Amino acid sequence: MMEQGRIPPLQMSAIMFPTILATAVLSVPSVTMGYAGHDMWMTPLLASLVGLLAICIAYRLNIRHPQLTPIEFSVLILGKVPGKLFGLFFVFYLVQLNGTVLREYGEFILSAILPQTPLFVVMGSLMFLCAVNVISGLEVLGRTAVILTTLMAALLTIVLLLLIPEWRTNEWLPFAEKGVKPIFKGAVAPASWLSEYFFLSFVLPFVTKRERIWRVSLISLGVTTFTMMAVNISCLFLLGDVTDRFVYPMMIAARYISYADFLQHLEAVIIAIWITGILIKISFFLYLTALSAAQLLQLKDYRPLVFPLAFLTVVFSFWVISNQSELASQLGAVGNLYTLFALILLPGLLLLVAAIRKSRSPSSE
Amino acid sequence: MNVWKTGLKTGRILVEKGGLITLILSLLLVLPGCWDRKEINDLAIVLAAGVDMTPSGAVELSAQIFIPRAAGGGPQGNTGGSGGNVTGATLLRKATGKDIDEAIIELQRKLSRYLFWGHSEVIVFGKAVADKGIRPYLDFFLRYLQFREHAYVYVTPGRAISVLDLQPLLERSTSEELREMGNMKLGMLVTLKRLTQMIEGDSQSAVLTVVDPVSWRQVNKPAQMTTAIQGVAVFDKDKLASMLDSREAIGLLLLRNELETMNFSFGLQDTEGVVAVHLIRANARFTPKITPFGEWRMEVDIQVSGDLIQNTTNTNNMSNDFIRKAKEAWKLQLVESVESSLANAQKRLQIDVFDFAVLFRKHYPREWAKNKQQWDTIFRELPVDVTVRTEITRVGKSGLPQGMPADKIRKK
Repeated sequence: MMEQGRIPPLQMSAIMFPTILATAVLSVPSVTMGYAGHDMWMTPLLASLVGLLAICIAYRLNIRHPQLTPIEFSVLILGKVPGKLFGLFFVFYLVQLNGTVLREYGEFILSAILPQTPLFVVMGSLMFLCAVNVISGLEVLGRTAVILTTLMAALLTIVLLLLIPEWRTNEWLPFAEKGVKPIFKGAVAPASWLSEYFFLSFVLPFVTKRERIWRVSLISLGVTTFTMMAVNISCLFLLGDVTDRFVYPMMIAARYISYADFLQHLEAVIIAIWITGILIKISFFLYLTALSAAQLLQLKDYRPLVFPLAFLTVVFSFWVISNQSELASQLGAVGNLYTLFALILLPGLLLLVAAIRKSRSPSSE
Repeated sequence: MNVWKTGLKTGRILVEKGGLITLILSLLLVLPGCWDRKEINDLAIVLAAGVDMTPSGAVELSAQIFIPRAAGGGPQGNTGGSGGNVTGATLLRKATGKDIDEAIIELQRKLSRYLFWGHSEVIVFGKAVADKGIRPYLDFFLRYLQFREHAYVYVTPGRAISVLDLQPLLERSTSEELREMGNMKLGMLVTLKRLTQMIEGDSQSAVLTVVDPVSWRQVNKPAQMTTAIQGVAVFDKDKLASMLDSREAIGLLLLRNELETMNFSFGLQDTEGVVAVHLIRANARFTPKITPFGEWRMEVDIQVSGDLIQNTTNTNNMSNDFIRKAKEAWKLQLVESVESSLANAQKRLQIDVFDFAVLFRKHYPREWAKNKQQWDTIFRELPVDVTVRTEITRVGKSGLPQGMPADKIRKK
């Protein structure tokens, strides 16, 4: 086995929380309002069904092959060539996805606090940190996640609570002004975020206390959905119909907090939330990339691949997009459908084939 | 011997881990190189911004800048008894340009420090700019990174720079003065975020507080200028439509649920003298109605309560009869100001300054979607039923009128 480390389910969910939310906190309110108008507060709720589907797929596949990651069992399920192609797709998909996430981080930091700093320095320094985190193994990643996720959740809770007095609760009316269809359209974006729950499939082989996996995954999904809704609701109640005019509504919201003339300028807190979250998210994706690439090429260890892949990801982050507007369209409809294709449809088909061919690891009960 | 061993060991580690140590040391080289580093003593912290327009149409941007040295004072510099004087803690600079972005650069050219707008808590628009439309500036303020969405926005009938130019004695700067005045809610408390919501909202109108420097002649000293809140300004889309003085604004503020600090005085039936009430709470509730015949109407229920602060009539103010009469008189006065404010908005200005459009959209989304385009005409003809309920809860320190012989006081 390539990965000797084992993580408990709690650390698994601590990894998933920032993996979904780090980017979602900033983009989802604006993107969902673009489609669903002021009914966007409920889009995460609909999207959680897709998250549930992703978890189901990952979990069912794991039951069939408890010791293997998708890169390994795809070969068993689909046969050698199609299986390897599936793995190859995922390696490239992960690099590209991670590149986009890294670029999102870079764009945000540049537009919010460090406009003069070269993009490469901002992204490169974070990537270096992530690579060091990943090369230390899954257990270190899990523990980092527990510490930073706690921090992130605490800061986010503080910001959301401080915003409550500014709420104008009637902003949610009228419900379904333009019918129900826009709500479903709006739900596609959070759905593509929540479909990242499929990545559980890559770490489930290394999770201890297997009997608790299902329950912990569901609780994790619940918490993530709830947080997404809380963020959407506070943006809606604060900014109302102008939410989607801002690139990062949550940033505007945090800047709006002002208590007694001294508790203000809290945008730094949002940046702290973002950086702690994104560190875990990029580390996790980099880990998955390195692990998948190593398994695809049947190497003995994934560690030598971490730094080269980290570098490749930085390069990809420059390749995927060239400016903030392109990033927005990448996160728009096309990007979302692509994500859903890669993380729901493909794995779903894999599960279907596995069920038809009754593919099972011999060791599983 | 031990020292030797340790020394050797350290040396070996240095050689073996040389790569890592070099890496860590090389990181140190990068760490101080923050491209965006700006020391606080390189910043010119702007406390308030003013936007004016010159007669030729150029934008004139004025900035009230904090002077750290003057404000510092403290124990070292100021050991004399007169430590309290904080005037001169700010300086004012202005620059013109064909656009606000050009004006900002012009302004920067006049300063040795980087302009920093992150603490600009007040933005004042001059009348010339407001007449022409404030949209370009709204976009700039909501896009340019440093400006705060929480900044209070005011409008002045003259030039914004003349408001920022004042040196208040009570506060450190006019910026602070205007912010405190805003918090007191003598007019509309409107932040940059609220303003853009109002203009982009369904009614496409906005209401801002008017501030104006007024001359205040002291008895033995030369006259001084001081900031004062002078009613509200009504915007049609982003253009100034009209300014209402404080008395005219009462009905409008009442209908927008913004009235907080206010006194009312009125006479009573069959008595001489006046009764004055200090407002404690005002709450307006709206019920938009569209009848099956397609008639749009609005029901407004205003509930106010206040405390008695003056009674110059000759009536015992503890009697129920007196309170009933006072409530009635207060109610009539409020109804009148609300009605006149409604008539003003519907007939003269023809601007939905009360955000009725939002209410109709929220309660009747389907009808609203159909009639959105005709809202201007609908609003002009919209029947509004006003109900005012007044309550006088307390009578102050005195149960009977003061300064009047006991036998002159009527029991009822």
